[in-house]
Amino acid sequence: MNNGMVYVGSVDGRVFAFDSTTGDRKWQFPADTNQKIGQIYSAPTFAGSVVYVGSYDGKVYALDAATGQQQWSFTTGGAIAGGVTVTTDTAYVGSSDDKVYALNLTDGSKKWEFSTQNKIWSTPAVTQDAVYVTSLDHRLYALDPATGQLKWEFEAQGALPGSPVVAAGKVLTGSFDRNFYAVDASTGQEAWHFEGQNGFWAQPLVITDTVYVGGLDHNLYALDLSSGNKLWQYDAGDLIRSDPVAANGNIIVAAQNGGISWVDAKTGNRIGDIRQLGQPVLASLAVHNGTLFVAAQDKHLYAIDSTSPNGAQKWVAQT
Amino acid sequence: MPEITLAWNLVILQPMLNFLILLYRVTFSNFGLAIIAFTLIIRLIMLPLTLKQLHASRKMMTIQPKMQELQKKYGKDREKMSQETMKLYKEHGVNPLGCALPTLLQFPIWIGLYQSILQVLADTPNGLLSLSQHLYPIINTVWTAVPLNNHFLWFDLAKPDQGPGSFALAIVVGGSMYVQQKMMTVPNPDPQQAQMNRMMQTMMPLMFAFMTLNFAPGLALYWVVSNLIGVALQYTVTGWGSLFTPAPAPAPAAAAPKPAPRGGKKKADAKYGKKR
Repeated sequence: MNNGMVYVGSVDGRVFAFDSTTGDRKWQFPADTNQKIGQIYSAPTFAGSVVYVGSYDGKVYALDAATGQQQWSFTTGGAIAGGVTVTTDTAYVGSSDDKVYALNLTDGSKKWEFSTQNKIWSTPAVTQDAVYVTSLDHRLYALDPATGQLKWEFEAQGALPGSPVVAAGKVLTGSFDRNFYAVDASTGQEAWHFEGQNGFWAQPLVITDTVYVGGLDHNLYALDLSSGNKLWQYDAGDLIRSDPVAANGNIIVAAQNGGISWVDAKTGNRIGDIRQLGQPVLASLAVHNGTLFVAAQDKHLYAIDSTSPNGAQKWVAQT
Repeated sequence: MPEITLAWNLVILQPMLNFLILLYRVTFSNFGLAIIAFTLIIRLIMLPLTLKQLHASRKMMTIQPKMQELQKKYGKDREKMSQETMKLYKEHGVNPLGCALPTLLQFPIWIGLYQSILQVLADTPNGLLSLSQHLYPIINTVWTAVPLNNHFLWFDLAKPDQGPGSFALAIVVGGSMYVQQKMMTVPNPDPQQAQMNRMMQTMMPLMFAFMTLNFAPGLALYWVVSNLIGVALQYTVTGWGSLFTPAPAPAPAAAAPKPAPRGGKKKADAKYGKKR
């Protein structure tokens, strides 16, 4: 989101920009309604007046944030299911061709690429020291941001489809082996892991010293960041694939069945929920200026009041 | 019909899917070998029924001369023919359904296997997400195995490609099915029935060959292995059966009515007297 605009990609193969207050559509890409790009599984990234988005057609697109005009595109060797991470001069993206790419922000030319042994469906996490990438080959990789050289790799027991998060010197990521891992960001040694009842796919949320992560076992877990001990868990009613968000001291989580819950961040007690959405929600949630944005599988973007657990709907737009 | 879907998933899909993944682990992470192993195990489980079917088929062959006699005697009286046929079956302990039951039981296996292959070899985010809901929580091995490697020889086991490899597979599927069917065919004295049997022998293999081109190659691999096992089993019980027996010539057209014998009228007049 930026400057009163919210950007969303659709499974139909289009990128949209809406006014975040009114829901009016400002532009769409491709502009021609008869054209599409590949399905878009991850949220677009906004940086410096450009919107970056990866598509299932294997391309990364850089679009003018104000008009939707394409500035450049880069073609990888496989479908892109994850998002694009952007720093001051580089865009990082993983692909189903097993590689992670670093691209020049100005023209999309490739700086370097690094090969893993299976598809990358996640969004890279980037710090000054490293680019962290998870792959379906069961590994978490730490790469030099400038050169792509391997610093270390950590191997879990199962595939790592979800996007990692870096917090307090640790890289946090969930796995299909039903474990949620915290790995030392400098050395790649496991700090701790937490075992759920099903895999983990959603990107975790870190607030101060607590990690909130949704599992495919229907539970939202709150874990102590330093030890991995479980503080509480909340049953959302269906698998959680969507990344949770925080608003007003609450954690807002969406389950695949469309149920959206407001949960007290300290206790895990449900404050309220809305069930009338009724549509599968797999995409990340986003909160901005008191509004919760939910992209549902029914090809609609819902804007819901995030300050009230009753979740009054502000507007809905078709994507 | 969510209840039916739930029951199907619980009883057929999920056990099959999890078992396939376990076999994948055992067969050096090779899904083609896992399907072959799966086929062997299924055929082993169904062996008693299959042998029963084969023996029933052999008994049918041995009573063929008597069936032909019945055909000559009651050919035109279908009801009587049917009665006498059932009597003959009973006398010799032949159960016509015994020949069909193993085949019927295979249908849910084919459907379940096809669904399992598509689920297990999912290579999209939504596909993997769907798969996660079918994996048994208590078996850690299945969790650590996915996503599976879907290549075997030159095939992507989940995707039909209709290239030369798929055509070759279709020929093998159709050919092996034809051989198996021909071996187990019981010659039928009824020309109409025999004609229908010949049509089935041709149409079924062609149909399966066509399906091979359009369905996941993993399913075709199951058919090939299953057919080859079937041929081997059939051979042990009946030998080559009717495989090398040429199809009988079609029944001749009804003969033209013979002219009345000479003197017949005079003889009839002598017997019954002339009409006045």
